[in-house]
Order: sequence, then C-alpha cells, then structure tokens
Amino acid sequence: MKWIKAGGALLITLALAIVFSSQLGPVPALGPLLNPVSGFWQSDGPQHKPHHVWLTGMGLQDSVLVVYDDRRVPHIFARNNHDVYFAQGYVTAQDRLWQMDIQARSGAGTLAEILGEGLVEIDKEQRRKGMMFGALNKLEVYEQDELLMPTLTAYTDGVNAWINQLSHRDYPLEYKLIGHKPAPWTPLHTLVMHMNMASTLASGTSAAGMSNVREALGDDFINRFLPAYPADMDPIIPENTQWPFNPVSPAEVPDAFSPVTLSDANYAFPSPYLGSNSWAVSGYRTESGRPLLSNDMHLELSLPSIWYEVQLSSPDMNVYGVSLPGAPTVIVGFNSDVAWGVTNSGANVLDVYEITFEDESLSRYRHDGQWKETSYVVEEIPVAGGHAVIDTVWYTHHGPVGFLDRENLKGQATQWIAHRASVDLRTFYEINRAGGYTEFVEGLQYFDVPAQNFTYADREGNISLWHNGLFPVRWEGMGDFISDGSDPAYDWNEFIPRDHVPNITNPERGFVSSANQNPTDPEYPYFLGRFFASYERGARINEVLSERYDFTYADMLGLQLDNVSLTARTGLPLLLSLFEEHSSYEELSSEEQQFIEQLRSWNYEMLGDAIEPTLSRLWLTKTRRKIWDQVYSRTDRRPVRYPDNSRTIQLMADADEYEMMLNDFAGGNGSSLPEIVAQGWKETISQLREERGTPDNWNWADVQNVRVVHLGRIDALTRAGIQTHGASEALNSKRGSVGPSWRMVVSLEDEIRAWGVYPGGQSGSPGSVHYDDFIQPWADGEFFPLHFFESGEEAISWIQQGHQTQRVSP
Amino acid sequence: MKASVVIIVLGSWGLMLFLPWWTIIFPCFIAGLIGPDRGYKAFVAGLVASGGLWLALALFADFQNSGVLTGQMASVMDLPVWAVYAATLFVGAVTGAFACLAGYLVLGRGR
Repeated sequence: MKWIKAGGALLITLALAIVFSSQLGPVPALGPLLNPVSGFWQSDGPQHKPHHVWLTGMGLQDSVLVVYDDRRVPHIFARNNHDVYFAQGYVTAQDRLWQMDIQARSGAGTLAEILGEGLVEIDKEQRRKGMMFGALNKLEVYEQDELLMPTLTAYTDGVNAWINQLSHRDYPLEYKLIGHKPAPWTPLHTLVMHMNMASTLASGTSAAGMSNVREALGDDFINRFLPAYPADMDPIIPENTQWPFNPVSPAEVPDAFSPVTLSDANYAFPSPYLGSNSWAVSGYRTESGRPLLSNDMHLELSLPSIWYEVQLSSPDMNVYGVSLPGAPTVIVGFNSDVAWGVTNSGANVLDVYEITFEDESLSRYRHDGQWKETSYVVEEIPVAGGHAVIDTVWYTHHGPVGFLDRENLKGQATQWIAHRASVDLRTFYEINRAGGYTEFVEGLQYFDVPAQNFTYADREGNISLWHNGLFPVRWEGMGDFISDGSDPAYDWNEFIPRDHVPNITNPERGFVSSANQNPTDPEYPYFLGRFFASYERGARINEVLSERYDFTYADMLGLQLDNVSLTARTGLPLLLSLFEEHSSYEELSSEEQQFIEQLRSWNYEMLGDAIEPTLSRLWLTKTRRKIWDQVYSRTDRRPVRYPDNSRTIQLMADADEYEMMLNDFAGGNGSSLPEIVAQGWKETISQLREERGTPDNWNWADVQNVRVVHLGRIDALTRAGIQTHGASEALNSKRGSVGPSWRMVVSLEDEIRAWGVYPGGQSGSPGSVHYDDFIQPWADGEFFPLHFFESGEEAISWIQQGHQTQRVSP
Repeated sequence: MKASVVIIVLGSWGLMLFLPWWTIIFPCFIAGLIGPDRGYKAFVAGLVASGGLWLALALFADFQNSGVLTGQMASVMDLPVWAVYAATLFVGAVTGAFACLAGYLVLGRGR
C-alpha cells in the first residue's frame, strides 16, 4: 500500500512535469512559458530612461559608443566601418530579433519549421517564386564586392554576438509562446530580407488578368479603358521633357499570343495601396532659401515596424534615418550634406511565360524552335512536429515554373528582375556617405530592385529625382499579358542603360515630386510597363507645390497630412448630377436628402470623424463596379483587371463614350448612367445600415479601421481601430493596415534639421513601453524632431541634460 | 516543515536560474524526504513554498516592468491579469506539492 501511494505520487509528479512541458494543441507549454525566472515574465524589453553604453570585445576592433535617446533611437559612434555595422547588427537584434527571424523565414520558406504544417503551402509558394534562388544569385556577387561583403559580415557578426549571449530567459516573448529559439544569422538572411522588399514592392503582375480581358474584349477595349498613358496623368518627369540619347531598340513586336488557362495559377496584382509620396522643393520656393525634402512610404503597417530608426557614425560617415531590421545601412534619411527619400516604381519587372514541355518528364521545353533542357531544384520544407515536405521546382531560362498542368504539358514560369545578381545595398552604403550630387548619382547605379524614385536634395541647393532601377528593354505592351515562353521576342536581352532612366535635376518649376505615378509621358523612348499609380496623389502634390514661394518645414509636414481626395473632387459632383436625373432622386427620405446636402457642401477632405468620405467612397466604388460588370459579366474568365477610378470618372463625364462602350463591349444593352448611380446610392445606404446600423456609426475612421498588425498575427499585440484621418488616394494615404510607414521632412540648412515619425516603436518587445509609443503621435499627425549629433560627446551631453523630445505638428 | 520550505525555495530558485523549470521537482522531492512528519504537511509545504516562490518572483518581475508585459500577456491569452498570476501559481504550486509528497511517501516516515 505504502509503495502504491509513493509510486502514485511520483507518477503524478512526473506527469505534471511532462504535461506542463508540452504544447497541447493551441496551448503553449505552460511550465517554460510561466516560469517566473526565465519564462514570459522576463521578456519585458527596454523600459529605461535615455542612457549610453560602450560596446567592447565580442569581435569589435575598437570600442563603440551607443547613446539611446528618449525615444530609444540608438546613436552609434564607431571608430571604423567594421565596428559601425557590427554595432548596427547588435543593437538591431537587441530590439528586433524575433521580427528579423520570422521575416527571414517567411522569405526563405522555412516558416513551417517552427510553426508547423499549416504554413507548408506558404513556404512552398515562396520557393516556387524563387525567393531563395534570387538571394543566392545575389550572394554570389556580394561575395565579390570589396565594400559590401565586409559590411554584411560585420552586421551578421553583430547580430550573432547578441544571439550568442542570450539564454532562454532573454528570448523575445514570441519565441516563448511558440517554444522555439532564435537561429543564427547569416549574410544570406540579409539578402532574403531584400528579396522580401522586392516581393512586396515589385512582384505584382496583371498579366493573367490582362490576358483574360484581351481574350474577352480585345485590344480596343484595353487601349481605351486600360491605357498605358492615362489622359489625366501628371507624370513624375514633367511632360515635354527632351531625352538626349539614342535608345536601345527592343525586339520586333510579335503577333498577339493567346495563352491557355492554368486552373491553379494565381498571381498577386500589384497592390494599388502600397505607394509613397516624396518631393524636394528648391530654395527659390522656400522661406529659408534652402531646399526641403519630404518622404513618406506607404507600406503594410506592422508591429514590430518595418523600420528601425538609427544614427550611424564612423570616420567617413555620419548618417541618420530608418533602416530595415536585418540589413545594414540607412535606407531613407540624411547626412550632414544630403537627404534622400524613395517612392516605389510601378514599372513591370515580372513577366509570366507560358511554357510547353516536350513530355511528362518535364526535362525539356520549347524555345526558339528547339527543345531546351530544364533544370530542377528539390525543395525540402522542414515541418515542426512532422515529416519534411518535398517539392520539386522546375526552372527554364526565364525562371522558376510556379504552376504546372502536367496533363497538357503546360506550365507558367516567371522571370523576375529580383532573381538576378545585384549588390543593391551598395547604393545605400554610398549614399549614406555622399557629400553631394555626383556621389549620389554614382551610388544609384548599384540599385536594381525594387526600382524606386530616389528624391534628392543637398545643402548646395540641388534637388533631383531618379526613377532608378534595372528595367528590361521592352516593345510596347511586352509583359502586359502572359508571354509566349517559346518565342525569343519575349526574352529579356537588354536593359535600359542607367543614364537613360527617367531623371530630372534642378527643374525650372522649382520642385521634383513622385507619388508612384507614370514616370514620363509617351515621348520617353522606352516602355516601362502599363500600370503605374493613378494620378491623384501626384497631381495634388504638384498642385500645392506650384502655389507658393515661401514654404517652411511646417508646410511640408502639413502637406504630408493633406486629406483632400481628388477622386471625390472629380467623381462626386458627377455622381450627384447624374443622380438628379433619375426619378428616385425625388423620392429620397428626409434623412437621405440630408446626406445629399452634406455631400454637396463637403470640401472633399477624408476626415476620420466625418461620414461624407464614407458615403462618397462607397457610392463611387459601387457605381464603378456596376459600370464594368456590364462588360465583364459577359465573360467567365477570371481574374480580370478593372479600369481604375479615374478612367471610370472620365467615362461618367462623357455620355457619348458611355453609349459607345455599351454598344461595343456590353452587347448593346446596359443601364443608363443615372440608373446605375441611383442603384449605387440605394445599395450604399442599405449596406451601411445593414453593416453599421445608424449613421452615427458611419464615421470614416471606423470604416477604414486603420490598424498596425502584429507580424505573428497575434490579435492582442495588434493595434486596431485607430482614430485618424486620411484615405488611400489622399496624400495622407491610409487604408486599413496600409499607410505612411515612415514620415520624414528634412530642411537642408547650414545645420540640417529633420522631423520624422512612424507608427510603431523602437522595441519589438510587447512588454516594452517602446513597443507602440509612436502610434498615437502618428495617428494625431504629430512628428518628432530628429536628433542628429555631431559626436558621441554631444549625444551624451544631450541625454545627461535630461532633454525630452517635444512633438511638433504643422 | 520550515526546513522543507527553505530547501524548496532556495533549491528551486537556484536551479531555475540555470536549468529548465521542471528541475524544481528535485529540491521539492528532497524536502519531502527529510522534512515533514505527515503526508498533508509535505503536500502543503510543496504547495506553499514552490507556489509562493513562483508568485513572488512573478510579482517582482511585473513590478520591475510596471505591469506592461503582464497586461500584454493577459490579452494574448485572452485572460484577466489575475488569471495569468493564478496560472503561474498553479504550475509552481501543484508540481512542487506532488514532488514533495512523493519524497515523503517514498521514505514513508510518520504514522
């Protein structure tokens, strides 16, 4: 009896030890998680006041001073370039290790290794996209680069120096929740992070949607309603600019190609919401007589944030700005002489090719009248708590085959500029040290992908903009549709020489600007792609910047927060006047009449606490959908690319063209515009009532639901329902989880002054006060003055004097 | 019983600093071997000493962090903050209690 009791108690003890150490379904292992000495209780992250530390040993060549200001921005002062990048890796890992790890895994297709079976398909997709293929190609040329490889290695060593000194107790919270530990960093991880950026910004394609539209409606429809050069575009480089060079000629234009449909093929359209604003104003338009530069990049808003603020100082460099966790250098910022910003290019750099295989072995494919050899990579996807999944990815000379129809011996391959070898980070290495315009332009040549509009201003008074990246030389329309992978006319043979890319310096109008719109008018001798951002934001910037000659930095902050919607300004008056022509307009309830009155007197500002933006946006969206559904309902091919708001508004303003559109493309029958607009209104009101109840719940901010989303999709660590102004087509460009991810304004006076803010916080640790402390100022339209110190002594004395950063608003 | 509590608190704390959480069963077991003269006393000693240690250390960590992390953790687990404490107390207390009882029963002292 005694032994039974003792044995029972022992068994229960062991069972408890085992049960509390195991993950049970969604419940993490409670013992390690709740352990007060090393569990989540210890993952608190930084809470403390401004301070400074000296880093020594660990592989550093000298001692490095890191001064944390009151917003926890590290100001790194090193005595050589090795140490500055080592320290950057070290401090970034300290604040953002889990983010770096999970993002690198996401790019490399190794999420299932820590998160289990559910992530296998996502991993597979990344591998078929060639993410690692591109990163490995890049690594080869980095290894040859005498500046960048030491930079990458130093950064990597810094990250690993931080990781190596961690015990379980120090791991970021998320590791404890999933019961995993950080993996060592390598230079390849940094290049995967670069591939992630390329994937976010330059891997969308409309090819499948456009081939479907062409098949159903023909080229006439496309040329009229999905034009490469929209009538209202306000290009980045002003119209009628001369191009003083002899362009490289593309291949001969082949006959139109009709692809077969692959049922599982699935490509992301380029996101119309990812975009950015950037401009530089020359001294003759500013109060100080010196240039002002402004930039805000609209990206997926995440916690931890995509950006990490940092100052890097070494004997040949002193630079401040935002960096990408996982990559050395400053990506957007300024030094004591120059400032630069970026907006994304919509140029088409990913083509989809239909591949015809010889037989079921898939070992050869058709190209240029011959059968050519394929190659393949066997991808092994490790799975936590399960067997590795094997996936074979076939490659043609175009690139990896993402989708296969073995029965019909067809496939679709993608050729993507990001697959090519390039040392893009070298650009930032050079620009971080640039003393003037010549060095800035020399630095640009290394940057291939994702192509950006680099906006530039310096203390000498120059302003400039380069639409910079590697672009294949295309015949007009090449790559707009699914390409014939067997026809060499679709191959990428030549690339636009770097001094031929669209660029402009010190223009007469006194400013340069970009908001992702068409870079040039049709006179530019190269075809870059069909779909750039619609004109609204670009035109608004140009409209405001043309008005005055006494701009101050506060005006620039204010312009970033501008909420005027050109879509509403052009579209709403049309909706209202077309509605008046319809019989139901006379029968509106008194409440609806009140809405109409409000819309009539509205100033088109997309304010969070108003309902006019909600009504206007929803009404126009429904109307647009209804207009084009009359055309697209005649085909069951999907996906299809819809004409954008601006083209729809032009059509609504032209009764004859609308009539023609119905006759030529909708089989001659369709509804009148007043009828469609009236239906759109009715559905707008009923949808709002159904989904949101009474009109006091229809405020724009509630409909937009601006949110900053935790990278691991843990809802409790996401910040949602942020009350703020703005809309995707306004300069204050926000929509759901996309918005200004870093706002910066730089005044290039004798002593550079700068302001910035991003929706997040420097620490990735949810237990830190610095996890989300910038979100409220960001939502309220406030900025922080950025502290750019000349020396470590100045930085230390600044924090010792107990300064506090005071927010500013325009 | 006092001796048991001291052994459990010091032993567990020391081990947890360097080794996985479940190694607390060893000091608790040893405390059970040499301390209590009744089974329920052994159980209570483990419960109070180990649970108390976990609770006190958690409170201390939370205090240092001004409660920010505990709040986040509670919302991640979709529980009130007190329940996060309760869960922590529970894991420490129950494991300690059974380990201590097992130690007592193996030696089989008392009546």
